[in-house]
Amino acid sequence: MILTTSAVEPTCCQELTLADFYLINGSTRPEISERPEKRLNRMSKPSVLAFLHACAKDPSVLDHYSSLSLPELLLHACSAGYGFTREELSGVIGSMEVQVIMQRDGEDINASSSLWRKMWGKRRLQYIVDDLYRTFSQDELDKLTH
Amino acid sequence: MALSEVFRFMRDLGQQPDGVSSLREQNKESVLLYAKNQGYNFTEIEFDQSMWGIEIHLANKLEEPFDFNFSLWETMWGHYYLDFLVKNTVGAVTEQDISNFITQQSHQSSER
Repeated sequence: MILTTSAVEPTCCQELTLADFYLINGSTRPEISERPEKRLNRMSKPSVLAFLHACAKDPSVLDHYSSLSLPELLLHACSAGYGFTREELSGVIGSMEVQVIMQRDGEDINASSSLWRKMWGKRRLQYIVDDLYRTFSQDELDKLTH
Repeated sequence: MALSEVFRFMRDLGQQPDGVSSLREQNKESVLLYAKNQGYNFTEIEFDQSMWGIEIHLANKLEEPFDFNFSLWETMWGHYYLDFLVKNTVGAVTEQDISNFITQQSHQSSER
């Protein structure tokens, strides 16, 4: 789920960037260099997509990660060679959600956005893999990392 | 009032672990139908407004922006969505928060 409470008009879809939807302010979280996911072979957003691809390709991988909390998931993913931060993970997912709601569904992002009902009945990672990642073409995925 | 019925339903679910576990793999329609059959009187729109609104209320209370990085969303990982709503959305706010939110919504409705 997302976003700011301010109304966002679908007409701006063509020029949509993730930055448009972030409220930039100071963070109280640890510096990036302190985070375990930063210590190994970091590949950033492409690594997020590689991770989601692995989950989509192999049910046992998805099953393994689905029940993990975010710190656990980051730790396990880092150990498996996927080097991304929680900010990069949430950024990729947020971009997908914005694209689905505004461009595909032609809706505003609010309490009644159709996408949210797909979160029901499943764990978060299952929703992300089935209802976001699997619905994106390779071209669309490539654009997410640029 | 319907919004208070939404919170009564979610609070009651939180007191019934078996209820959550039996519903967590159900889709939204099934969960709302279950609520209706149990006597809770609210619409889907009222449910959506209640959850979205209390999440914004919580963000304001925690002095966090209501955006992608809101710390509440991080608690979704590993959980079914219903568990998240019961435990970390409704479960994280106080009865006073809910009362204040409902009062605020009532005032806004009467001003329209």
